[in-house]
Amino acid sequence: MLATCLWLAATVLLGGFDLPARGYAAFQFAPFGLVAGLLAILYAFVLAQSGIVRRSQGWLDLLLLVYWTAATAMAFRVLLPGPGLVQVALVIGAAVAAAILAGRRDRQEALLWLGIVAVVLAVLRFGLVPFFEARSGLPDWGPIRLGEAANAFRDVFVAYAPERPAAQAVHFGALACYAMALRTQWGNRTDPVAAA
Amino acid sequence: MNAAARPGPLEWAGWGLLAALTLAILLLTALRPTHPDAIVNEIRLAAGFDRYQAAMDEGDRLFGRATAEFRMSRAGEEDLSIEYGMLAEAAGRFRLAREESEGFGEDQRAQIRLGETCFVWAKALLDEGTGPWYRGNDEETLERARAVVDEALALPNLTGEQRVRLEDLRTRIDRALTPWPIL
Repeated sequence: MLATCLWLAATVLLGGFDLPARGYAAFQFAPFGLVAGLLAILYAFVLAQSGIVRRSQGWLDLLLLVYWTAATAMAFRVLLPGPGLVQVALVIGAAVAAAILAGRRDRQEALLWLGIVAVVLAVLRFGLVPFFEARSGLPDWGPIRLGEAANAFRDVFVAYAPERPAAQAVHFGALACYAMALRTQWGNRTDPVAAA
Repeated sequence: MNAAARPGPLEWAGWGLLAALTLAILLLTALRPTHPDAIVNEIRLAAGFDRYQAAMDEGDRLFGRATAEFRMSRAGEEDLSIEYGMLAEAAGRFRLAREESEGFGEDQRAQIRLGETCFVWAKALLDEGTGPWYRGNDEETLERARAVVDEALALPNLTGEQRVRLEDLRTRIDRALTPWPIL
C-alpha cells in the first residue's frame, strides 16, 4: 500500500511539471483542472469496481483513494490537449471508455482498455496536435494579417502551448510511475468481479 | 499492537518519503516557482536575508531572459506580451532593490539596471508600435513606450550615456506619435 502511494505521489509530482518552449519560466508546476479531476473521480470509481485497484480498510482506504484520484487526474492532465473543441471530444470519448471499462468482467481486459485509452489520448496530444499546429499556420500578406486569423481559428480547436522536448520524457516518467502503481496491485489474490 | 504488525524502520522511512513528496507537491502548487534560481531568490526575499542582492539577482535573471527572447523572436510577427511581462517584473525587482538599498552606490546600481530595463522595454514597444508605411502607428503602444521612457528619465542617478540614449529614444517615440512629423 505504501509502495502504491509512493508511485502515485511520484506520478503527481512529475505529471505537474511543464517545460514551456517560450517565456521566462524554466519550468512550471500546474495542478490538474476541473475537467481532469472529474474524469479522475469517474475513473477511480471504475478502477475500484473492476478490481484493477485493490481496496484497503479504514482510513488507509480513503488515503489510497485520494492518491489514486489525484494521480489519475494528473495522468489525464498530461494526456489531454489544451482547452478547445478537441479536448471536449476527447473528454467525452474518455468518459464513454470508462463505461466500457466498467462493463469488462475480466480484470486483464479492463486494464487493456485503460491502456488503449491512454495510448489514443497520447497519440492525439503528442502526435497529431503538434503536427497540425506546425503545418496550419498562414503568413501575413502585407496589410492582410492572415497569420493572426489562422492562430485565432486554431485556438478554437486547441489552445496549443509548445513545450521543450524534455517535457515528453518527464511526462512519460509520470505515466510510467502510474503504470508501476498499477503493477503493485497485481498481487496474488482473487478477482472480486470474477468471485462475485 | 504486536511486534509483527509494528512498522519497521524501512516502512517509517517510506512514510517519511511519502510525506515529503506530498509536501513538495503542495508547496509547488501554492508557490508556483518558475526557475530554480527564482526559488532561491524568493526564499531570500521572504526570509529577509540580503533582500537587496536577492532583488537585483532576480531582476538580472528576468532581464537577461527577456533580452534573449527578444533576440530569438521575429519582430512584428510574434506576440511579445510574455517578454513585456518579464521586463515589467524585472523593473519591479529593481524598484524593490532601490527600496532595500543602503547607501548611494547600491541605489545607483539599481537605478542603472532599471534604466536599462526601461530602455529595452520602450525600444521594443516603439518597434511594435511603428509598422510598415501602409499601416498606421499604434498610438496606444507608443504612449506606453513614452511612459516607460519617462519613468526611466525620472531616475536621478543614471549615467550620462544612458540619459542621452533615453532622450534620443523619447524623441523617436514623439516623432512616431506626431501625425505630421515634417511640420
